[in-house]
Amino acid sequence: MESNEEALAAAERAAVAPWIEQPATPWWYIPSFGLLMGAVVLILGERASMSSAWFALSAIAVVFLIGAWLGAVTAHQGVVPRLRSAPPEFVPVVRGYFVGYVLLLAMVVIVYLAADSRVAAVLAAVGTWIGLVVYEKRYTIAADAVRRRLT
Amino acid sequence: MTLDALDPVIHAPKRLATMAVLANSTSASFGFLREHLGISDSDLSKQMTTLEKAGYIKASKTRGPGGTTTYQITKEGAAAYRRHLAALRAIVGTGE
Repeated sequence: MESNEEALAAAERAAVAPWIEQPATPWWYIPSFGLLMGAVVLILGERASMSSAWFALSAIAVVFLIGAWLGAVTAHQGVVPRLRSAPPEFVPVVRGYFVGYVLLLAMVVIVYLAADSRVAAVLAAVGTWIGLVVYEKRYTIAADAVRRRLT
Repeated sequence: MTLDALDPVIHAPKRLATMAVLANSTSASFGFLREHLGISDSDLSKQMTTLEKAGYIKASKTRGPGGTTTYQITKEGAAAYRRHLAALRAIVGTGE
């Protein structure tokens, strides 16, 4: 029978498990999401030159693919951590993720207005790819810091 | 704060750890919980049934080959877990 102290310590370890015990993301995680983001920008940017039917078909296809992507990632990871209960080591990582996405979105809009939708789509794909690589590296460092704190 | 404040359904170590995982995630799969707890399928099923019967968690299953079972904490479960954790902290002397 474990003591109340041990029970509390076990609960604290379990509370961070959704953040630090996930398996490594699959190899297709980053490139596929980059391509999907590029596709979204391309479809939205080219809507004026597409027929209504073709635009609707493309939009439905990309929404379906994003849904399938989310389902596949969730099934692979086995857990979806709750953002509100992020351990302190993860707070700057999560904040950086959202700030990075807002900055990328702003750059994509500027490039779309200044150049064209194809260049903006490439930027969205490559920017998402690079952003997720950086995020994954920072995530790994934060997870290691949490593990060190709990040992 | 006395031991009476502890929830007997949650106080069992495996169920306490399960509730801690579910309180800090929007969903967790059977496989993830089994790996975290390091227990057998049948043992985990037993623990999950107890929590489900208490109304603290709900399960959803995907159909077809490779179908998985995922769990979410209910509002009642989240409230019970918070109460239990507060009682535990008060007993141990780390309450806020």
